Amino acid sequence: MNTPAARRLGALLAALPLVAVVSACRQQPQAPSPAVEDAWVRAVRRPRTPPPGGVNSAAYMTLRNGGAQAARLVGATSPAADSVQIHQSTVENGIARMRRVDGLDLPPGGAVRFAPGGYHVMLLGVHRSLIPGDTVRITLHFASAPDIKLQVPVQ
Amino acid sequence: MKKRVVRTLVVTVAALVVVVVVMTVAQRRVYDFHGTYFDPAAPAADFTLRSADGPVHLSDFAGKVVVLYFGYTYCPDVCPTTLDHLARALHAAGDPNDVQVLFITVDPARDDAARMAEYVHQFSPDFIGLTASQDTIDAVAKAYGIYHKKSDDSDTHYTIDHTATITVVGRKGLVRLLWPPDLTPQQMAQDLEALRRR
Repeated sequence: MNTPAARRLGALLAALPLVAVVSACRQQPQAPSPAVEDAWVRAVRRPRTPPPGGVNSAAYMTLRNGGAQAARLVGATSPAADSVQIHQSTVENGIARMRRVDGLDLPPGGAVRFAPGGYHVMLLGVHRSLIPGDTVRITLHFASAPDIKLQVPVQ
Repeated sequence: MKKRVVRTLVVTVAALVVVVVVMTVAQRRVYDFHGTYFDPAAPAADFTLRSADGPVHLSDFAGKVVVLYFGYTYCPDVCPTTLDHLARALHAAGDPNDVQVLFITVDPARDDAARMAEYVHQFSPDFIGLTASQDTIDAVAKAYGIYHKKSDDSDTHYTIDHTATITVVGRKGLVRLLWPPDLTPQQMAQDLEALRRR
């Protein structure tokens, strides 16, 4: 019974469930979206005649990818601002820099914290003053997961 | 026998009191600043800049502790965080009227005096926002070792890389302290209280 052919058959049979799992995953069109925790937007006052370039603010949160697949944040939109960009601030040797990032990878089980002095969702040219107690609608877009629509409190 | 016990007790207590007093005094002497403390310290360069209420000189605040922070109002992250921490620090220190925060723009092309006032008053009604011509700002920034550079060529949506270190000028007009931007408001408040005692 313990011939090479039988061993091959055994290995094949053992691998079957794995094939089933892989194909099941393939059939799933989209991965679940990451979870958002502790989101807030920085309060800003917008003067009646805003300065050229507008008044900016930033949103902060923690993005947690509880799924089994990597997720990639590729952008955000909001009806409350002219445009929304993902930015990263760094402070090195006392010098603060801010750069736009194209996207942000969230490995399976991983989390990215958007916090002052680091990653932030920058709201460029806000359309109104953002007052503590208000909420701001922000939608996060992912490469291969559904959008997340948020109502983010202003602080 | 009883007398000896009492005497020993009295001597022990007295010794403890002396130790505590000496330690307290020593601790006050060698308060360890969270920022970089300078002693001897160099005189802070005087300047004339514009606020929404008219010209402002550093020398206007002689006898006060002056906190100088360079940034710009379009900065949505590091600058507002630092100004918020400064407001909290002053509040934690009891909002002393002998400490003045000055926010100096490194972006005079976009930040006029009215905009600076509007911006800083979001954090504290007592903060003063200052601007000037690009040449004057460059000269003041240089005098305080503040690096600043536009990061791209867009006319309206550029950001500026800039030194985010905070300069604290003592009551006698000397540069006494440099704070890295990541200190907590409590650490800043402790430093301010120590500096005001000197």
